[in-house]
Amino acid sequence: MATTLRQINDFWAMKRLAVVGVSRDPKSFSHAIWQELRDRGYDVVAVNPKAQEIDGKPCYPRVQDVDPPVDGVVVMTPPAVTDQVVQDCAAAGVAHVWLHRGLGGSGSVTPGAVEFCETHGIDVVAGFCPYMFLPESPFFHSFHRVAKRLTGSYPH
Amino acid sequence: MRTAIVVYRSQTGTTRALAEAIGDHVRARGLAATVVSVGDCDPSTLEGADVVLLGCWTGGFMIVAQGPDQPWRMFVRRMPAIRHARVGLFTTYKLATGSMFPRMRRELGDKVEAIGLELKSRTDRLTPSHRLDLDRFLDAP
Repeated sequence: MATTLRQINDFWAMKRLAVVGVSRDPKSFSHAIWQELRDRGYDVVAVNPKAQEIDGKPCYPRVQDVDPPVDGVVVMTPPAVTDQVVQDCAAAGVAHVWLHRGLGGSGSVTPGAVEFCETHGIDVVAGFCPYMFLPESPFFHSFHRVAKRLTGSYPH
Repeated sequence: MRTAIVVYRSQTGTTRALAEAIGDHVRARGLAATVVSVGDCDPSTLEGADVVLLGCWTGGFMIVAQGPDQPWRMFVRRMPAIRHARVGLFTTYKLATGSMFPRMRRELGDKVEAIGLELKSRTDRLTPSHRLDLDRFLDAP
């Protein structure tokens, strides 16, 4: 099922989020997304089984370990682990999942993860860069948005 | 001991690294410095500082419409008026800063009495010239 703008707006309307796959490297894209959401006022936690804390903030091994639980999850993992992550989201009762994909590559999206979400009642945004839908993103993200519109792949 | 707060808004990590370099330099000058992003900073903590440095990456379209982005502006709107601290600004940029500093000053409005430093860098490092500017800012009467 194609992602709609309504799903995207619903996702950003939530306040407590998790980003799965946050790197310790502050220049990595996953770290930038995590920090971006914090700077924009979201109550957002990091999930990465290989880190106990990042930037001095607690980091959780799995989504179902986050307490209090989150409303939505941004998945920034390699596709090889995405299927497990969405199963964790279901176990944690998460109702909204965003499977990232930037310019080029598959991002975190897998057909199996999308199908799992759809069959388990999880509202899934599949295959979009979160920056494209945040207000006043840098111009290259705006360019990406325009390119999506021109190619007819922008959500409606 | 004098205290300094370096508050930054970074998009790719470059402004954060510059903020940390500024924090290191300020510490080397004998101040107790905290470096924190806008999303992690309690604005009320600025009231007790002796030195406040506010930084943001230069937004805009290449060489036009430069300015601080929304999260930085939102932070400034939550910020209390700073009456007793020395205040400086810094930014990272690619081509030109253009209207960046004027727009940062406009956002700050009358929350600050004077801006004692405007430091801009194309990289995440401090040059000798930047260090000199910082020293003058910190040592100003």
